[in-house]
Amino acid sequence: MAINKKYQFENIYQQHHPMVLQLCLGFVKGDLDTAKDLAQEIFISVLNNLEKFRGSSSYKTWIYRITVNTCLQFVKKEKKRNISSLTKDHNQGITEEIETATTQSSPDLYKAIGQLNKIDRLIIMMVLENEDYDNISSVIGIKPTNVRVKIHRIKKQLKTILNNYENE
Amino acid sequence: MNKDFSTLKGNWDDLKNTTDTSSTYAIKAIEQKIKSKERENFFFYYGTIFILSITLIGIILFFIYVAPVKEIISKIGALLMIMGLVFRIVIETISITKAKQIKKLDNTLNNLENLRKFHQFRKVAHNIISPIILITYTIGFFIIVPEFSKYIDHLPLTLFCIAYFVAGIIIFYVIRKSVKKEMKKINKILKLKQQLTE
Repeated sequence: MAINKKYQFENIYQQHHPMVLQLCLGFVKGDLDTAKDLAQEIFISVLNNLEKFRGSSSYKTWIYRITVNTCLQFVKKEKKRNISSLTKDHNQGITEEIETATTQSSPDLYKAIGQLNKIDRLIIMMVLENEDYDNISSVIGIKPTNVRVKIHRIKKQLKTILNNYENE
Repeated sequence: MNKDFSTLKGNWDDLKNTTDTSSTYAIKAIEQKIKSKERENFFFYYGTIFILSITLIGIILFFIYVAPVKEIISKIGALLMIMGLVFRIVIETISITKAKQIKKLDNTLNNLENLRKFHQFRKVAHNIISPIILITYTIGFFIIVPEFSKYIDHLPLTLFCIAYFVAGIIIFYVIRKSVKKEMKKINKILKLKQQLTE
């Protein structure tokens, strides 16, 4: 790897790894091992695409695109892994609704986010990361007005989920 | 709701600070994984083409040097077998091109659409094109059998034909499984697209 590229990547990694890891944690309902694997996949794509970064957006927005697309594709592999463990654990009553492994110790916020549908999880986490509607719109490819409506609905849904946790 | 959301935002930021993000060796691990991924991708993209090309060369050499068929009808049979394989290689090449069009730098909607196109193509390839190729190849094979029967004993030839049928049944089940797999992937992608645009 060229020294410049390596230096550039190291900088991006140091700066954005916590954000990416947290997005992954929210996406996989707080499972740290899976989140680390996922974050690694994302940074592999970041490194592979580094030369294509044109500077038309910030690194953060650019990384969001890779993160969202990788998360949505990564789940397919993850689901496969769970389905095979599902077959093994069938007698223990594990149901097909389980999509990703959740850990007992993962915070309620991750679990709550994990109850949203996959697209909504990623959108709300970008909001929590202070991304504005225009950036979110450019990452996911729908109009900013639709993003606004969507976010309003997701916030309401998340609030209900968290309230249910508190009442339990 | 905004007040609730600022509390949530505060929780989110707190969680970030408590998450272990130690990155010692992480960059090295990424570099190593890239190397192994490049190998994996190479086999994923070119493995099937390589195997099919070797088979194609083997069959061509077989008909030239080992069993050069003499009758016109047998030559047509050999040509059908060869054309079947060539067509399969073309389909595999198109599939690779479509796979390479799936770019992680696209926005989510475009990315999902490219993914859908890729799996749709794979589905058509498994569901329609592969059976056509298999039938073409089989017709070619059975057109040659009468000429082969002049030079090969009845028993080995019968066993050979039975083995061909057994292989055909296995391939049929593999194709059916692949179609189901692609269908499942397409449905998941469509569901994601619906979640995105609803």
